[in-house]
Amino acid sequence: MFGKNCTLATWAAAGACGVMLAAASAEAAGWGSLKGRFVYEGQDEGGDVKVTKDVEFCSKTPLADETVEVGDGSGLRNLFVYLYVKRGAKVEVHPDYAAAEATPLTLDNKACRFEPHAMTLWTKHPLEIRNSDGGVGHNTNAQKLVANPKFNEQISNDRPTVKKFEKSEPLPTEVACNVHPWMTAILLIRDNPYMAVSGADGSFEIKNVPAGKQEFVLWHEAKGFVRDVKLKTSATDRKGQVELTIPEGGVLDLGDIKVAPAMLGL
Amino acid sequence: MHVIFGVSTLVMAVATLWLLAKDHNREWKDWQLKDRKKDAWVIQANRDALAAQFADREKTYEADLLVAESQPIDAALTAQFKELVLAERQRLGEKTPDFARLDARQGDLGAAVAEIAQAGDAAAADLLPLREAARRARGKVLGEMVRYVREASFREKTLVDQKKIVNGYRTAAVSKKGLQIHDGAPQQALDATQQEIDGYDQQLGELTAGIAGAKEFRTSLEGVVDKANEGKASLAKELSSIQTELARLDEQVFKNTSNVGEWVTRWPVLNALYDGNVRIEQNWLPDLTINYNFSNVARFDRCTTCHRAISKTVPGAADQPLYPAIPPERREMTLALDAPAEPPPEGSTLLSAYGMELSKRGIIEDGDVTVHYVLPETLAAKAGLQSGDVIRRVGEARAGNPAAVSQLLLELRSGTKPVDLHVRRGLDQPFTTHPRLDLFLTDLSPHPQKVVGCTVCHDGQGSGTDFKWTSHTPDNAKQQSEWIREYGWFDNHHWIFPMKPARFVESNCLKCHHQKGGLEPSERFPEHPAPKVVEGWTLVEEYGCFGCHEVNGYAAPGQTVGPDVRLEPNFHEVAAQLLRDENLTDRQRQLARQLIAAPDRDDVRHELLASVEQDSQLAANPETQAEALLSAKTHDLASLLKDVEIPGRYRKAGPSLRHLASKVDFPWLYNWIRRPADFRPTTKMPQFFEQYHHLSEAEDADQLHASMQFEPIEIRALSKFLLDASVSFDKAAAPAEVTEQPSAERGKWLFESRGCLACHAHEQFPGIAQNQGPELSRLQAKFDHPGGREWLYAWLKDPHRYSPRTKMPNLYLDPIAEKDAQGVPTGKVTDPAADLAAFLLEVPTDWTEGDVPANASAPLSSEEEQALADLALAWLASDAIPRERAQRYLQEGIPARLEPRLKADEKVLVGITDENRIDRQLEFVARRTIGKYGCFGCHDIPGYEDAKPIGAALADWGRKETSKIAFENIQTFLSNHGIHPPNPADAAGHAAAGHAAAGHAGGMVASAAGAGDAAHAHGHLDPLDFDDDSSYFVQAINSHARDGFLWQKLRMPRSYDYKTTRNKSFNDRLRMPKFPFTDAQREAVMTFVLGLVVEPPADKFVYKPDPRQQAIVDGREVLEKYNCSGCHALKTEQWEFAFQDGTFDSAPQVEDYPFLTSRFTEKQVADSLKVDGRGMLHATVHGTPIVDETTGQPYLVDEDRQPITLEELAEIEAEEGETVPVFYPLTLWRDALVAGETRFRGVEELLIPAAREGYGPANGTAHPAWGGDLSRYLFDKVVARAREVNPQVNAKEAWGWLPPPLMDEGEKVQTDWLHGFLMDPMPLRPAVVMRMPNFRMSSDDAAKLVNYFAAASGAEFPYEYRPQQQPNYLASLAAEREKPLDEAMKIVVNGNYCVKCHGVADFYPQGSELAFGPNLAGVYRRLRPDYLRNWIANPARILPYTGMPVNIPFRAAEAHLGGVSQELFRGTSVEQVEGLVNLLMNFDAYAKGKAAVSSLVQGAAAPPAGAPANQPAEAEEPKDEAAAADEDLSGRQATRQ
Repeated sequence: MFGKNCTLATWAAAGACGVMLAAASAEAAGWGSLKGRFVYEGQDEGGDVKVTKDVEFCSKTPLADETVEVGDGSGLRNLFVYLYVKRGAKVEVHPDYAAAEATPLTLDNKACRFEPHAMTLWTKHPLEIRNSDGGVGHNTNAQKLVANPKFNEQISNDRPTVKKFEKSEPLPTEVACNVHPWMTAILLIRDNPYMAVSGADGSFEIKNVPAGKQEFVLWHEAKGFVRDVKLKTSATDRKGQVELTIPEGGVLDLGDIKVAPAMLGL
Repeated sequence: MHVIFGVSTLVMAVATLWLLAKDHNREWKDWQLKDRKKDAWVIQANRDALAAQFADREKTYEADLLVAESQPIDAALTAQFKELVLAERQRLGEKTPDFARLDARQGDLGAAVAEIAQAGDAAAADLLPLREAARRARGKVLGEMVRYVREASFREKTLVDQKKIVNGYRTAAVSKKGLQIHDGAPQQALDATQQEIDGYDQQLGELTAGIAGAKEFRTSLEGVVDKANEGKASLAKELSSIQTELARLDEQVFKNTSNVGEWVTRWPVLNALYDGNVRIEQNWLPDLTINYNFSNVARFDRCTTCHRAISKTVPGAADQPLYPAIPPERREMTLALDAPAEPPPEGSTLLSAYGMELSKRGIIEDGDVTVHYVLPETLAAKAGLQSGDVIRRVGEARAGNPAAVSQLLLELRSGTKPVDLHVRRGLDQPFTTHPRLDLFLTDLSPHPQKVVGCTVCHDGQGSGTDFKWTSHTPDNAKQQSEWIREYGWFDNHHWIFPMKPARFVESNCLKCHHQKGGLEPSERFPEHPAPKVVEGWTLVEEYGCFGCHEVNGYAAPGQTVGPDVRLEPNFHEVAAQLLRDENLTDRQRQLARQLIAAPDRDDVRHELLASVEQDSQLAANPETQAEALLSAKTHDLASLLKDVEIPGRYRKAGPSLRHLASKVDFPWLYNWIRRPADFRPTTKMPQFFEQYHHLSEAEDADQLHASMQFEPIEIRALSKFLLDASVSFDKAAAPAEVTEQPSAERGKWLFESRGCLACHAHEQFPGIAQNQGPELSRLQAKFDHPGGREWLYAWLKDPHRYSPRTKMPNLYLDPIAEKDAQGVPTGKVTDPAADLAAFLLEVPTDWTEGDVPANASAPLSSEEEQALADLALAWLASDAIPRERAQRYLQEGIPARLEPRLKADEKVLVGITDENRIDRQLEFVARRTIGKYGCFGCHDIPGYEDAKPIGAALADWGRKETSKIAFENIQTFLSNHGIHPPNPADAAGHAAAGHAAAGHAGGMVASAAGAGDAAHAHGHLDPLDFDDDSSYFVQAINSHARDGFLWQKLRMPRSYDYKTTRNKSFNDRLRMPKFPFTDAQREAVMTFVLGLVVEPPADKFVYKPDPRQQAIVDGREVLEKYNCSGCHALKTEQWEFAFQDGTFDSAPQVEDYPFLTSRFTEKQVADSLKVDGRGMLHATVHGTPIVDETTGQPYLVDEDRQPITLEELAEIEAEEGETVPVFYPLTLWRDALVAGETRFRGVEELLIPAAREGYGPANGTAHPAWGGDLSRYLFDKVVARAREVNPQVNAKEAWGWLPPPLMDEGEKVQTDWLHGFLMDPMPLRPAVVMRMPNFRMSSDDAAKLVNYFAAASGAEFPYEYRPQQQPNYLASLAAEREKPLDEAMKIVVNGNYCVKCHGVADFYPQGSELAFGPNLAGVYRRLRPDYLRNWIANPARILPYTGMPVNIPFRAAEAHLGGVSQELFRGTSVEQVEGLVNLLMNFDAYAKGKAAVSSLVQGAAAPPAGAPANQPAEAEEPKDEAAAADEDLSGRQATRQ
């Protein structure tokens, strides 16, 4: 009945509440960056896609299975790295991020695939979903969203759909097109900018992270959370999490990070 | 004399006193006083717990007050105060006040406070004088302020007083003027007085304004002072609320404790005048009469005299019991109590060390060591102790008294393992509360105590007030002996309504509930109201008890008296038998065939009957006799087609045997009849033969021999006869277009995916086991004979051809043209029926018939021939045919001249020769045997159309006089053999024993138990020797009660023949077969049968639902009959749970069409925010758990929505040492209100805190879904299969390929469409793996289903109004805009939208069918317009799993509210949606407009001018856009081809 929260708290407890509030709004000690490069120890197994709908149009550009994409120098593409934030907690955003403009980021339906295949989205930015395939209808089915409202909309060529999100998704979400079942994209929505997806060469960088001990998550669409990946001294756990120390004013370079096919469940 | 007088006076006096004492010391008074004591104890414990929790608060109150009173006063406040005073002085024109003193005191306070601040971290004690000084300083500041307030107050009061005086003067002046007028005073005087009055009025006005000003000034000053005192005030308020609550509890304790006054009034004589709070509670129920032997009198229920707490609820909760009755098995427990980390210092109490107190005395028994209260978050709370727990033992030590237990616990030291506390929780009757207050007793329940009382449900003697006189009934022998010991209980034979024992308490539901659906779970009562009696009812239906035992629920048409479970009229059997008369006219033949297919067609039946009766009249008249075509047999048969006044509704439980020879061969049939469970352990067919338990004694050797000799003859005769009497059956030919050979592999997938598993079990599919139809694992052995495969094929193709009344539907196993991934045919055509047959017949089985005759004509041994002759003789010999003559008849045949006088069975004995003697005798025996066992009660057997059920009617068996029940020698039997006697049939060591073991396990009482049971065979039947359940029934047999008889009758029906076989003939023996019930099933059946009493109470008590509820009740019967729930989900899971505020994240904000908003009432919102006594909120949500794509099972997730197994959870929790919250994600199937927020279906999945043990929510219940098992079973399998073809398949869409859930079917479809669809289903969705089969249901059944769906989803029925389809609608629409439907058609045919996935009329989209929806041309007949609108607007809001996207988005901020391009359709998104609805609801009219009929008719006149839009006039303009769209359509089709 008493002492459950600050408004009802007794005189004695009031002090404690104040302390908690003070801690939450404390300035971060400093900022640092995280970078690295994922190196895949297996083959690119992306087979061809079976085109079953709008065959004529969609067969014009070759389509491949994008689940595991290996690029330059065995770089593993589309591996997500993001800061883990406990439910309900907030993380401070570096002024550079805060000052940046809230321009929409684009997810395009192009040549019967999503472009990009994997993307990150800070809730500050709206998501613009386009359809650049003239005359071919695509729908964008985001029924797997959990924190934000699910949606599934037909995207026509003339008018892109713009979506604004409010909450962090706990993990990257698959977005699909029902008309063309091979079409999927992976979208990570967070209410902070501390996330990245590895590029064609497997490298990634997250800048201006609050310095100190932080938990990061590794996620790949083939497996979900990627466990047992060695990063410097520690390895990711069941939920793909690993604790790293971000140096103040410096860069934590993880170098080449080896990912074995087994880690992706292959 | 004096002595006599004196003595008798003395005796009289003593007798009177004794009488008074006896009358005074009544048992119930003790119970009441104990119950009051209990109430007082509980309230006291609550009070003390509260007081203990607040004790600290009260202690620190003074210190807090000091802190509050030594706070500085904000300078701003003082300034404000001063300003107010200054302003007031100025207003009044008074001198400027001098605030020097106030300022000085404010300064003093500032200094004092500064000192405190300086002292800072100093010890509290050192701070005390400083605080005291500050408090004084503050008091002075406030005192100074109060001086001003007082001044203001004084001024205000002065003004008020002045006003009163002036008012008085004014009143006097007014009355003076009145007198002056009366006295006729001069005008001048009047004017003067008026002037006087006006003067007063002016003064009053000034005073009123002055008072208002003064008041405002005073209150604003007070406001400032209050503000300065704010902290202190809230502290005082908090304390006062605690004190109020404690005072309230104190008062309650007092009320429930006996005081001196009460004690006095409870004295004899006095208590007649004042009841002293102890009185008999009487519930008078004049309309709910009880039958006192031929006279119905009002009920007096006095049960609550002792059961005082029976309807008490937790304060503030409608149906939570205040004193929950905990089931016996959960009352004793062992709790582990940890010792405090630090050893408690000397003088510690349990409260300080463990956070608990022990009570000085127990709740009921003073000596019980009872936990008084437990404070939250303490060691005691952690151990799980609760107030009221009785501590029996501490570790190994017995808990003697509170002090000893206290000492023991305080001596515990940490570091060792926790001590085990053995605890007993909960209260005994009569101190507990009824467990189902939602259903009973409370005013909001359907059975309020005031209206129905107690005994109408429980029976017993309601007017009794002593335990023994109220006819309580013990639930087992142990309880009985306890009761005898404690309460002097006895079995009162003179009270004919003894209380129902707990095990049969549901029986009495049947008095008022005459339809099963009225007792089944509903949305309002998701917890099953009467599971046992409903199970019993269902078993009676499933096992076909009604085939022999009629249960007639009607006193007259429309007047029900109980459940009605009777066979339907056998019109279809009669019609089938009529067809055997070769002289039927073609019309008669046609009618008979129609009647077979639809026996409910009265018109057909009447015509057929009239036609045959006409022929019969011709035959009756000697003049026209020659014109009659039909045989006398046919005439008699047709009379069975007459109307039946109140027809029964149940089909025969067993399969039709009319064409049996086409299906099975002789050895299989022989074995089946002999021991059905041998071939199929799960069969519902009972065991007729080899029931010899009662024939195991030496004296019974002859009887046993007779059985073992005659029964094989009976079995052989039956098998042969059934095959011989069988009517030929045309098997189906395979369709010509099939190109592929049958494949068992394809068949296996078909068996799994085409719905077979919704009704049948098969060992190859262990994940699902339905029992609507038979288990099918061993079909290879059954059909291993010529023609077997063909029969199976024909049966699969069209079951109704073989058996018109089978519940097996036609699965439309038409040839399948294979297609590739793009949907293009490959040229291969398979035959699913052949594939299925191949699968079923290729599953290997090692089952064989064993020791059976090879075929029907295998020769009999001489012993067998003799046995046959003896058996036939026993049947034939009678008073009319003496033994010797009968013997002769059987050898030489009955002379032909006697034939006309013979019974039908005997006619087969006419014309016996040496060649046919055996066959004729066998046939004769078979016919009599069928009559004896009543085989036709469950099976359609040709020639037995007019047979009547052979068993006793059961409609009032629950009241059958026990003197009329033949217990015979059953007690002796059980005494001598125990309750699990061995069966000599097993001991005889049948050759079939090898497989019999498996077969018998399900069918017979395991004989292994017999050996152990022999211990009971002492010749004395003591119930206490048996387990609890059996002991009840043994006791019931001992006291010759109905339930005892029934128990043994169902267990071992023939055992009542024990010893009686010795003086009756073989054919007169008992014939009831043994049904393969488990103990629980048997008890359920008994619950049903014992409830059949034909004692309906007054009409107003009989359950009569409103029309909507009635539709649900009626519909459920049909749903069950066809097992609709085998495939379809009819109800989702319903989760009811309590939770702490803040458990759920806020609901996501959605922008959607206004008409999609869920409209919860303000009351509903307020209710969802209500906090209960435990500080919890409550919610009810409807939905389905999210299942794993590969296992199809629900899974737990952590707060990041990551799947987590229980093992992982345990591991993490052990590692981190704290509880990790886990949840079940639930897909909502209905918009829900959770903590005041709406959670939308299709928008989010709700994370619900999961229970740690078992499946469901924490702090709540998951009421199970109804139906959809097959869909759940198939989900992961269809996903895996689809991925073989296309790895990118989206698993969630797979729900759309499976039978759809039907929760919202009523809102969705038009009633007449659904009716037609149910009777003749057509394919709808291209994507589904199975299509709706055809059950050949009657129009009546279909109508009941339609009404059910509408009623269950709250839709209009039986008719619904569809404005869009009214004749004027299109015309008025056309007045508003040009070509309204054509524009909408542009959206439909645009490549981006509908035609991407839907066929439209002749157009069919390209691609994989898995993504396709139904053809849109048929929507106008199928869907309701509002549903269609909502569906188009946002499909996921109706079907959360659907892949169909939002095509017309709603965006409030955009032009035209979002929507699709204006080039397609001009208007807002809302108008576009409505435009599509208009088009689709009028697609027929639209299409007609495109195909001008006039052009097809030669010389047709031109349409009149002003023809409505969409009429042929439009079709004449070939170049309009819609026509272009048509071209587009056909163009697309062309590309597809």
